[in-house]
Amino acid sequence: MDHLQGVVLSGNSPQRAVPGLGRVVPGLGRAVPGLLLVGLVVVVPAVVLTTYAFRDTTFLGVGPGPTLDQFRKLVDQPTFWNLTPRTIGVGLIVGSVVTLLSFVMAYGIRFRFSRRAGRRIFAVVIAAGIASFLVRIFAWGTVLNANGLVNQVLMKLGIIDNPFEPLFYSPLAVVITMVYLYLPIGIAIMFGALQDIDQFSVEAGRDLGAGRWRIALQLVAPQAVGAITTCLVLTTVLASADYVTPQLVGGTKGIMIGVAIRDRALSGADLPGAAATTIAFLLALAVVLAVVALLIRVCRLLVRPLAPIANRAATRAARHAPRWMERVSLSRAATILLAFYLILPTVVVFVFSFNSARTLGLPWQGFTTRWYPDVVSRPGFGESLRTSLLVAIVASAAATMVGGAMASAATRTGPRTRRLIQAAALLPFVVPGILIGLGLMIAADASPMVPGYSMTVVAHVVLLLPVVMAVLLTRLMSLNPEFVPAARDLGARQTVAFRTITFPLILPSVLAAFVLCFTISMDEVFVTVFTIGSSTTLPIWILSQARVGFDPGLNALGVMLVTATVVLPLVIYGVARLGTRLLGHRGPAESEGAELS
Amino acid sequence: MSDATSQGAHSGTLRARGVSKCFGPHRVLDNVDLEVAPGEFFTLLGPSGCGKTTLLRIIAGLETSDSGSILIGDNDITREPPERRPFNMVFQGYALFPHMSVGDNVGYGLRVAGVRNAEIQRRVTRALDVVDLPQVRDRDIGDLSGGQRQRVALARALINEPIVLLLDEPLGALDLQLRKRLQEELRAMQQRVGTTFIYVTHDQEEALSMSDRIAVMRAGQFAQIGSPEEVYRTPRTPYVAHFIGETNLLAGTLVDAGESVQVRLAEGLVVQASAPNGHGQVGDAVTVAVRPEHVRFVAPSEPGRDGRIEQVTYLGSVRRYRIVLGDGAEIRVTQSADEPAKSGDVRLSITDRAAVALAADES
Repeated sequence: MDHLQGVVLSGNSPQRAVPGLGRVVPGLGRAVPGLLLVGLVVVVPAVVLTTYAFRDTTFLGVGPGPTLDQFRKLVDQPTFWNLTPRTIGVGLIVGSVVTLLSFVMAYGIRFRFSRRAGRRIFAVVIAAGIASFLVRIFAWGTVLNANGLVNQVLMKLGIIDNPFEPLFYSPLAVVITMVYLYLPIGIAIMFGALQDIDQFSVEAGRDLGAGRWRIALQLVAPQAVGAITTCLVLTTVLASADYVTPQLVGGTKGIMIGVAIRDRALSGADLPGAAATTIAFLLALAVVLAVVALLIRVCRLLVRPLAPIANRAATRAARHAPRWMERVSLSRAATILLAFYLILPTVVVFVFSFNSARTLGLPWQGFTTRWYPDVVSRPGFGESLRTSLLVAIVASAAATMVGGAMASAATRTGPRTRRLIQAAALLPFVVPGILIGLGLMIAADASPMVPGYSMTVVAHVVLLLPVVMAVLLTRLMSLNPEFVPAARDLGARQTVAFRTITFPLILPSVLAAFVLCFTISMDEVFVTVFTIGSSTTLPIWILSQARVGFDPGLNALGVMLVTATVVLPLVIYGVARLGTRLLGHRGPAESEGAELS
Repeated sequence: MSDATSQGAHSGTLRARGVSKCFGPHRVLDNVDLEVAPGEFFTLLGPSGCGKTTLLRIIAGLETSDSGSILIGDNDITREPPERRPFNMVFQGYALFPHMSVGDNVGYGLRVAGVRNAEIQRRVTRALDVVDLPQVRDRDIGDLSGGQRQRVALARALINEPIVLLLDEPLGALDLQLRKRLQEELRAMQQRVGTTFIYVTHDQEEALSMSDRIAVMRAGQFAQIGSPEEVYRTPRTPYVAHFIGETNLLAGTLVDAGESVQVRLAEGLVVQASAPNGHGQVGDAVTVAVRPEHVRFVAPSEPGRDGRIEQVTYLGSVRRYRIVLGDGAEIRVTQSADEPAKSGDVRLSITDRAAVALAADES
């Protein structure tokens, strides 16, 4: 550890000899705290979790190992055989639908709208993505349940007589809700990839006579295969490991394996059993995803022989297509529809938080604001809010610093080390929360650590690193690399150059990263459930409220949460940005100059 | 650093001794020696990748050399960080700080040195006057034109009164007309303030028009160092001859190595040449470098070489001919455009003493 300490402390000056790790991989210095944290929170717990899967459960806790007892028991459990295929199935469906819709929408945003309009739509997507996770789930309660909007409207129209049961507390509800939840992530991945595609290559395709479909499928999609695979795999993993959505909207038929793992760990206190289930499930998922990846590869190989057939079909279809279809852009229409899909549930939550009816959904019984004071005065609300704020502020501040140092290290190294740091920082985003959370809980069980506030803060810092890295690395890479040399050439020491040049220039991004972190931390459930111990954060409290059943109070709470996590930070960010803009040109020289004149 | 500036202002020769630098397997600078006298306008000229910018950055302290040393006067500053060297730099893209006004950019060097505010104001005003930009002090960097940015960068680098000003292709981003004007201004200003300039460029015309001396660089070494006239009139290698201006290289044999060097070209034409590298024995094979403007059209009765005009290009002040000689060699000739255009078969001769004889095996 001592030599690592040296690296951390001397990370400031590239000219000084850097002992230890920094010498092995030059420039790694500042990334070390972040890398250590990722190891401590993601890698080590995963390893400990694996060892627990090979130990006994006794009534005193955990027996010695190694043994295959847990897996033997698992094989005998019908629930495991039920839940695993269902979970992976739902995950795959969600992943596929999200990937398809993401491609369509990202394509629309990139190629079918002006730059400005595209940026606005993308902002809507991102806002929908960072709005409270739980609130976005509740919204579907109001939309889908027996009294919900869809059923009531269908009944009014006379299409159905009784509420369509499979719409709520069902696997269908889980799929609909999850597609909605994970769509913003998919779009972000896909849009990033499509932005790298040269506009001119598309125009060249046009010029050479390619129709729309041909451009989308033969020019754009092949260039985005990497993103499509990433999107499919990532959203499938996230959806499969989601244990909150199935619990809230799945009913008994929609339960997924994450719920069983969590119950086993938290209610049953059976850590080895939970660990074994997790390992077995992840192995099954890995096998399925490997097959999927293989299929994608096979599809790519088939593209060449099949292309002429597809071309002929496309040409024929184009010849017979009615005239009006030429003028309507499908991806444009789909993009607009999807944007509404992303916004509407939040609007529904907002509107129905003022419905005086006790049940969720229609009929509308009159305007009231009573749900707001009602939910705030419930026992536990204040305390959990305080805990959440504390965790969010401390974790966001720490994550911004640690992640900022990591990003700064990444800009100073060669491309290979940079990729290594980026991969490490991305790990907490890619590894499912249930694995990180359960791993931490088990690691705590195996060590003197105790779940609670501190552990949650550390976990959150690591979960936030990918966000900070993404925001700050982009900004740092966009800075002119000559700024710091120029400052030093003019006589500024390294630290002065950072304080007067780099920091003021990245400050807006630092603020943005902090705000984004705050939003995510305030909303985090997947890991917090395992690490918070006997304490409660706001999302955990809401989850406990929702377990009793949805009620309109949750809509009111949702409105407050979305306001707090999206609107408020945006306002703070806007004000802060304005402030730095105004302050930016008020260096001592100029303010003095103003006084003199 | 302000100490070093005030004490050693305008004094001390800048020396680089045996400077080498590798980037991975690629040797960018190979044992380079350099001496620049106080007040000199010294240009490092070469194609991209020849090591000229790296050498400049090593002098500035922004890059460390693998071996060798940098001295100013008798002080070895090889280990000094950039902020403690009495040099300042005008960067290629100017690297003006976008979050500061023009005045703050120019005054930055004084502010980090802890100079009093009133003093900063005074000197910023003066620096902006020197670069002829008194009106823009409170403007944003983003609101400036390319030429204005260039001047601001210059003012920012000059305000610390460096012993040596380092300029890394400072006019590269500007359009031709502006570049020409600023070349004259830069040269005039350098003579006015008397600071040593080390100027990096790949533009040979720029180098010729501004410099006291030029170092022509190739693959991390100096191919030739000399005044503009020296490197143009008596290039020491075909490379220098090619890089500075246009040149024709003709094969020949040394026939007289006495007082005047004489070379016999193919078809028996004998030219008088200078031999800057000294000359070998009579009978040695040599290469003769001749500028296009030193090739003349002569009457068919006079001695010369025959050729056929393949292409004529009108360039305003001159016409440029591409001519294929009897043995298949190509030669380029320029002639004042006031003369009538020629075509078809012609006979060519070479102005006496304008050609340079170089050993044939040098490349």
